[in-house]
Amino acid sequence: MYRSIQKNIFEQAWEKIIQFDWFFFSLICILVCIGLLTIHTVDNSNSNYLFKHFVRISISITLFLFVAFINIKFWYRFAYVFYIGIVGLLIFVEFFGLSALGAKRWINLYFFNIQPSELMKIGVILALARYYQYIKLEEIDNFSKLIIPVFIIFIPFFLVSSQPDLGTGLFILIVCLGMLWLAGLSLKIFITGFFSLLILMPFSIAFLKPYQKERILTFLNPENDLLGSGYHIVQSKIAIGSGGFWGKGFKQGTQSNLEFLPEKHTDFIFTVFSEQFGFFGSVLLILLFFAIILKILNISLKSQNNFSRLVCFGVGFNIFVYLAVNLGMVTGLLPVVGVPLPIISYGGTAMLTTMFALGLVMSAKIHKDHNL
Amino acid sequence: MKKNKQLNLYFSEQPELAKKKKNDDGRNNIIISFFIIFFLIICLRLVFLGFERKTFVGTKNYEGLFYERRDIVDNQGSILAKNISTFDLVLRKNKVKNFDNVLLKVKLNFPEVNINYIKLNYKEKNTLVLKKNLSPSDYNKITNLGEPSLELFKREIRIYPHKNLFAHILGKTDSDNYGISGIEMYMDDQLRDKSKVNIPVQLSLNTNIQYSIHEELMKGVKDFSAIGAAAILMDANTGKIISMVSLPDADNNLRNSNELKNNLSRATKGLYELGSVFKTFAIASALENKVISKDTIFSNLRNRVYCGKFPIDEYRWDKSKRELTVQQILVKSSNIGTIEIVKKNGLENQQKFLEKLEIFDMPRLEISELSKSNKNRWGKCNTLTSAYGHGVNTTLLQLTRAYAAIVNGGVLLDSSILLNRKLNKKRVISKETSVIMNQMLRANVDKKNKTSGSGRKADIVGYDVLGKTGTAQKPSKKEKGYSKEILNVFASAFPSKKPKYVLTVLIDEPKGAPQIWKHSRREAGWNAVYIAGKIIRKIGPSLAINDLDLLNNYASHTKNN
Repeated sequence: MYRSIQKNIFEQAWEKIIQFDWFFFSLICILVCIGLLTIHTVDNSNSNYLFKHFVRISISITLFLFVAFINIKFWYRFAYVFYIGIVGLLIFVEFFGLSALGAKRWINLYFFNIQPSELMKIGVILALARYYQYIKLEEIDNFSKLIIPVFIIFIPFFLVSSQPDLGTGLFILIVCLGMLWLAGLSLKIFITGFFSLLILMPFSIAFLKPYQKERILTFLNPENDLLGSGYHIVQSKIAIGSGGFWGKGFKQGTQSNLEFLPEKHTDFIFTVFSEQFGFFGSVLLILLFFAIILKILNISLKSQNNFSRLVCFGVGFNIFVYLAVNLGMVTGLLPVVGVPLPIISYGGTAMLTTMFALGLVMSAKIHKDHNL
Repeated sequence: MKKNKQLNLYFSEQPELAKKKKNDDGRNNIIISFFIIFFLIICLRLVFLGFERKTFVGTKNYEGLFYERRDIVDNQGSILAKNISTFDLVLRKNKVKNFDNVLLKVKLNFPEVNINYIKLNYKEKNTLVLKKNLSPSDYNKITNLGEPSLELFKREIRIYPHKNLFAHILGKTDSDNYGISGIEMYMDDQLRDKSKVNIPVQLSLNTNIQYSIHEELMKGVKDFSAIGAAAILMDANTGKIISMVSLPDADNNLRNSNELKNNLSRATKGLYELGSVFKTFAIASALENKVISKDTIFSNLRNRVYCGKFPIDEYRWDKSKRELTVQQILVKSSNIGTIEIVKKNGLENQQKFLEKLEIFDMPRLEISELSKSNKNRWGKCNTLTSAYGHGVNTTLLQLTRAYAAIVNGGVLLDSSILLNRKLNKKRVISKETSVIMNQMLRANVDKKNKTSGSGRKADIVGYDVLGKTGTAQKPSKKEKGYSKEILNVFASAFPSKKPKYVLTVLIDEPKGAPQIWKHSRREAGWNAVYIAGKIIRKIGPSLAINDLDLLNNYASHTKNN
């Protein structure tokens, strides 16, 4: 009896290792390495970015593997608990959080500051996926079945936006809308929702903080305000443009190596990369991301249950939205909203949550034949 | 394995789930095409940015970082202050690969740069400014060196091509191009107005005349070993200032000239007791109130009167000063005579008249260095002493304004250094009083007048100068009362028939000049008037070029002679 159980455990572990998607994992590792190299180029003797980033990456990859090997069933069971826990943290932040730059976003854990709004990106994906696991397609458009998802989505949205972190709030909203779309909500509901938002827009502008309004205005004409927020975009565009086709070469970027580019190791890391490796390198990097997202979608499609399918899609869509907004921002297509480039940018919580989320995808892949 | 089987059955045997899967495929395709479109957009954008690279240059372009400023020009349009682009040499620590090599390069190419400064600060600072305002040859050296850690930092600086000629008027800007003194400070907002950056600010000053006055005043300071001097030339009919000089001054281009005493503008900021020039106002007031006429005789004038226990002495009293007409009182500059006139006119009228002339008010001029008289209240004694310019102080600028009002027909004008500014005016005396005053003041200068007074040395042929001198003891810095040092003023105007120009000259602590006069007297007649005469002789032709009246006046004289 004892032996059979032991064998069973060994078999299970072996099965998991066989199911482990090495291609997906190596794609992530390549991106992580690119991130390390790029941060190395902007690292000078004073800032110790490279070492700190390396430590964070090590922790994140460990977390990734840990999450990946836990049965997806576990996440399914504890989805709501997880979600409610993070809502609790968000409320806690509202009262006891650390403030920085006029926004209350962090909880001090003494050795580490955590940002519940980042965790909420995963929480909301899990909760929505859990909810839609057993809703039948015919019932999905029923009004009564819409009430709970609306609460699941809008409670964190309002809590995060009031921190104030409108950016993250909007990301959560967009990712959730994507999930609802994949869950099968009819087009009619989306159109109605869209128009009601359009009507609400002018009223919501009144609630924006002055700096949020300014960002929107600067986006409309960045050259008007060379030293303010427009300065980022102009400098970033110059740097990307100066890279040419092949780039200036590793560690040869002039614009980004000097102090011209603000936030070069976080939000504007793509610019640094692009100046050094040119159009060729940039397209290659974008293709890598594209491959990762396609791989996630592929895992999502092959999933045997709605929960895994929606979780994977949510994670993929989340990464896509971050990627899109970051690339749009650094190339001057979108306003500067302070969004890091997933996996590559320097930064603790964002890196951890992204790897956590990717771990969930891997877990879905490994445990795709398991019943919930 | 059991689980798998169950799941497979689950999909194939339930038609509604199959339908859902089909639906999913449609939605998935939409999402994937959405992704692809976005990636294509970003790639296209990258291509466009690659072609946009023309804005990038090797040197750092910080334009917009420093505010542009409008030019300042004189009344002829010649430039008095202008912004130009310049470069600073900057060492960037994070670009340094071989520190010793960089040091060697700096040492060889810029021997004037302090190497020890670099060594000392290198570790602490990311950016070191090695040299400011590079010359074109320095610029070329840097570009030829090709050392990535040595950078050119572009910025705008303010330059003053006439150096110290307009020192106290223009003022300076700080290294961020904000005005910190003079008109640069007073009009900082207008000068930084981005919408008008190509339209210069035009002043009423004239560079040629300013230069002539500056030269003569410098000579004057040297001749009479004075500690300073000032002069203002004002258009008597418009209130516009044509020239204003204060000495000593300093080159506005030198940012670090820290000689504090040079910063005092003796024309607008320095408060002085100006002496007998004030007699003009006491007499004008009495004339205006019709208590005296030009020929009213004052007899039994003594050499000393008392105000309470304070004695007021006549200056160089002799018997001829015992009986004087009003004109003689002015020409001989009789203190006691003027006091009698004030007594006749009434103390209150004297006070009101000086106030009407705004002698004690804050001057109005578009520069930041101005002073207001610190006279607080009127008493009997300071009203009497104010008649000959003691016990009350004011600036040379306010004196000039008041003088313009006396000679121009009786209208007090605001003063301005802006060419196109409209000024307020108010009448202070009647035209008739002004005409009489001009005749009397002319008699003080006119050499043909046997009894002519202290202004004789300024009687330049052809200009019919009129004016009044003032010699005042300076208050002692150490104790109560007056010191032995004096301050001399000559307030003049020309031509006397219809004065157009008011010229006031102030000389601070002049000494005797035996090399010129063969004696060591130091009253205003021997220095301030002498300097004013030389100034008028020099600037007269320049003024006459654009002034037909002055030219005709000059021509009529030379014909007669």
